[in-house]
Amino acid sequence: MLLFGLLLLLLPAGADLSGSAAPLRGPVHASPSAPPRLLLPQPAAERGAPGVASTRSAESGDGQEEPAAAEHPHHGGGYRVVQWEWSYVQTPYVIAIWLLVASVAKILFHLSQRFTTVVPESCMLILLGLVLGGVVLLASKRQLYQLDPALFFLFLLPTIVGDAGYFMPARLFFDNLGAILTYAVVGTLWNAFCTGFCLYAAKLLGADLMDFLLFGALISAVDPVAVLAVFEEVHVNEMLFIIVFGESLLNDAVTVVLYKVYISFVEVGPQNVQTADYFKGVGDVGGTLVGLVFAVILGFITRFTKKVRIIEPLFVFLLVYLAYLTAELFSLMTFCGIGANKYVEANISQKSRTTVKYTMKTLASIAETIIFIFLGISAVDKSKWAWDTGLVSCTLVFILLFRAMGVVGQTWVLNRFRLVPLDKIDQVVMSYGGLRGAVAFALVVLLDAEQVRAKDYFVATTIVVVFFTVMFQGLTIKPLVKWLKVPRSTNRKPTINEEIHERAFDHILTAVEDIAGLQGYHHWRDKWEQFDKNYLSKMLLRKSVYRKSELWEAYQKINIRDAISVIDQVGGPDRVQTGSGSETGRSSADKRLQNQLQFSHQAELYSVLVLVPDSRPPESTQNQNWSQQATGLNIISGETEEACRPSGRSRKPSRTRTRSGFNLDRALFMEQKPSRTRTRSGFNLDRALFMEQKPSRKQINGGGRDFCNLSKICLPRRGSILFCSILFYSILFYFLSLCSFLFVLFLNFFYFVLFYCFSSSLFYSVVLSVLYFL
Amino acid sequence: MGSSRSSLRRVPDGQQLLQETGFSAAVLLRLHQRFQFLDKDSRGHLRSEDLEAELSENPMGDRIVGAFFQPGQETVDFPSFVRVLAHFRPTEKNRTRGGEQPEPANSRNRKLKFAFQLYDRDRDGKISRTELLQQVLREMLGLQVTEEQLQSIAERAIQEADLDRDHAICFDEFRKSLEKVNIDHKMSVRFLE
Repeated sequence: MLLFGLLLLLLPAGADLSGSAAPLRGPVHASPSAPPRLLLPQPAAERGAPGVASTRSAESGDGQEEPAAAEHPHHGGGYRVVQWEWSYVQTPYVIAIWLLVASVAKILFHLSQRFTTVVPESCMLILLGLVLGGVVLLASKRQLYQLDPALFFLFLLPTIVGDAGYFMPARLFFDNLGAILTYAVVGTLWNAFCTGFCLYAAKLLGADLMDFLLFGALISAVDPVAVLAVFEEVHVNEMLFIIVFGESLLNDAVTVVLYKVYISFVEVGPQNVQTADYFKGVGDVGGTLVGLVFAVILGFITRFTKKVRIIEPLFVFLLVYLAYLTAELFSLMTFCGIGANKYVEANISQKSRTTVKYTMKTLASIAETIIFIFLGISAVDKSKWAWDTGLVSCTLVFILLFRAMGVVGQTWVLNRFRLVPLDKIDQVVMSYGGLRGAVAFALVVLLDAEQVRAKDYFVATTIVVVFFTVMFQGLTIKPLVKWLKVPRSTNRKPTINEEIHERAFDHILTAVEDIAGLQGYHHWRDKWEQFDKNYLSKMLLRKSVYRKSELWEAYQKINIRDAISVIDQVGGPDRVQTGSGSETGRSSADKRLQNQLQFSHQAELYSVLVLVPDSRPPESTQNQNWSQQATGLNIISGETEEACRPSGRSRKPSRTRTRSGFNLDRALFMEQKPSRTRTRSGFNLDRALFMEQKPSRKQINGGGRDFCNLSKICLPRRGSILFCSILFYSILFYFLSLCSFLFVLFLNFFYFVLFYCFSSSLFYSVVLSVLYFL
Repeated sequence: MGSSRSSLRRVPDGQQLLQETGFSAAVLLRLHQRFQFLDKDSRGHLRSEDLEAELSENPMGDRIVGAFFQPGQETVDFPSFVRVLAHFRPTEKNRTRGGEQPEPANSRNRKLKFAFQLYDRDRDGKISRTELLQQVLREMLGLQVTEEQLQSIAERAIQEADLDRDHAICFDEFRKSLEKVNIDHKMSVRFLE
């Protein structure tokens, strides 16, 4: 869907150019891979070839010639042949090149471990977008690519929202639903109204109240993409994360509704307010209902897909996307995918689970990258905005101020009802984590310039606000979290005791509530569980799955993990036991396990690991020598198969102790690191297989650091390469921003932006040098 | 506040219970009303049948009911009723209580001890394998799993928690195995109106 979506991207570009160029010229690219050059796939400057400096500067050089070349009418027959073929492949080609640029950018950023700890990825992507935008502008004197709202809402946002919703831990979400809804609805309304009124009161721009209310509505929405991008690297505790993230997802409904209401006010004039109020309440709930309906349909369909395993992932994607589109049909924003997880994951095969997980995360990651890059690019389009210092500064102050006030106020109210009160530190993180992002930008670009005369000012302000929140707040939130000693997410390995007792506690609390006559949370939860067990699961789960118990599944998983860690530990002598000290009594527990598990031959273990998966369902293994644990291991073998394959290694992971092979094993079984860890190869897949608690797309340095511990011998040499690349990278930014600055000296906004680039690249290089030498 | 104070006099040992359990007066009154509702014959104490009647099918149900009654006793009066329920009050964050005050009923330690006693039916201070196996797991999992699977789970559970190798879980081991769980959250019920 991304690919087709990016078609939309090219249409404005096409429209722009065909307007200016001679009508005979069919192809729609600004730099006709200069007719003298007959080489077809010559990506032009504005396509942004993979971010390598030399290519770019060469292309900028080419770009200078292009305006001249663009005036050429098309040449004779030989070129016509060339042109025709180019236009034939152009659209997918450009799309692919953009995706490639985005992906290569990610690779480049993660070349340096230290760099990525300090700077969140979103910042770097925006900076890259700025640079690319500058390059495009230089090349064609006009901005060709920008974040098109239709593209954004129809293709980019659903991938991210769908990914988040599908992997949302439902229990945690519903536990905190009250707080999330309060912040989403009440908080957003408060922010919107206050910002709008205060901006109007400041008598800026001479625009009227409605315009400011509209602007307040769209700037007050906390953005899910930005929150996800930043919070995933910060690792606050789960409750805090889910509240902020849930709020960011649900408040879109409020924002969009408010936006539409005000748009209609502005267009038609004041009308009856009743319908607006009515919509606001219904919006959120309606959106989630749509999502839940589709989740039920999805669960039901997957019940019957046993014979058509290969297209199971397709159902998941289609229905999640349809849920989103259906909600969009009714102008709601849905939390698509929520609730589906439990039933779908139980019904579909292991391979499909892997596929779904991996694909969703890949798509969401790419969508996020593209969004940020395009945010940067769109900012560099000077024809689209106008700068007003007063508006910008007032907006920045007001949104921070009202967010803080709103959070404090609502928390005070909520704490009277919550079991676990939210303390001051939580409130600080919540108000600081209210990042604005691409949604606000998309909405502001959608404004009609005829109706809203101040649109250009609003666009500029939105860009600045988004940049400020993502970059400044994103950069500083990590040190803030550390400084405030916010409880971080625990990366504990779930033990069977915890599983048992947590379930027991649920029953105990239900009983207590029944005795005390309270119709409390647990009472309703228990009722829901009964309903689920008796009706819903029967309908949605496949018969063979329905009979399994959750506790047994949890036990199996734990057992598998331990069994494999046993193998891992009795592996080669070069094995390094990193992090095992943090688990008390771990090695002794494993030794006991070793005795307990009834196989004594490592060779047998290894052979089990390479058994063929899924085609033979685990229950049918009737080998009398194996205990239940062996049955578990057959399951592992299936998973390990999947795990092995993306890394492209040989089929004996336990034997090949290459560095990356080790990462594979460590990834699967050593849960010492936060489960959002990822190292270089495709082992995010592996973690995704086993660590099902936290959805993760991002990469932190945990795995890499562990990696470094392992390869201590190599560190100095490696370090110097990294350092050189960092320095080089920063100097590159410095140089490019300087160049762009020189060209566009006269515009205030550019001055600001480029000064920002310039100083930030200097800053980064200084910081990194310091870090390196410390 | 005045009216509830006066009606608090009807509650036996009202003031003392207020201090001991930390419930507010309103909650205490409500619990008293509940007690009177459950005590259908107005005897002033409850029997286990009264409590059991309230529970829907709950695997831990009879254990909870059993926890209200002291060993050997057949009835529970209102102060004991409230004291047991006090374990489930949400913990407050303030730690300013002096050293001479007894540990409040809803502290983390007391909650865990209460839970431990639920498992340890014979009150010997340890959760043995059979206790875990038969009583807890069987009741929770019902007919969904086979006997063999249950045994594996029980064995594994004991092995994980049992640090002194006596094949049973004493209170300290129990507490240690749950040290990462947010007990304040998992073992608290909102008694608000």
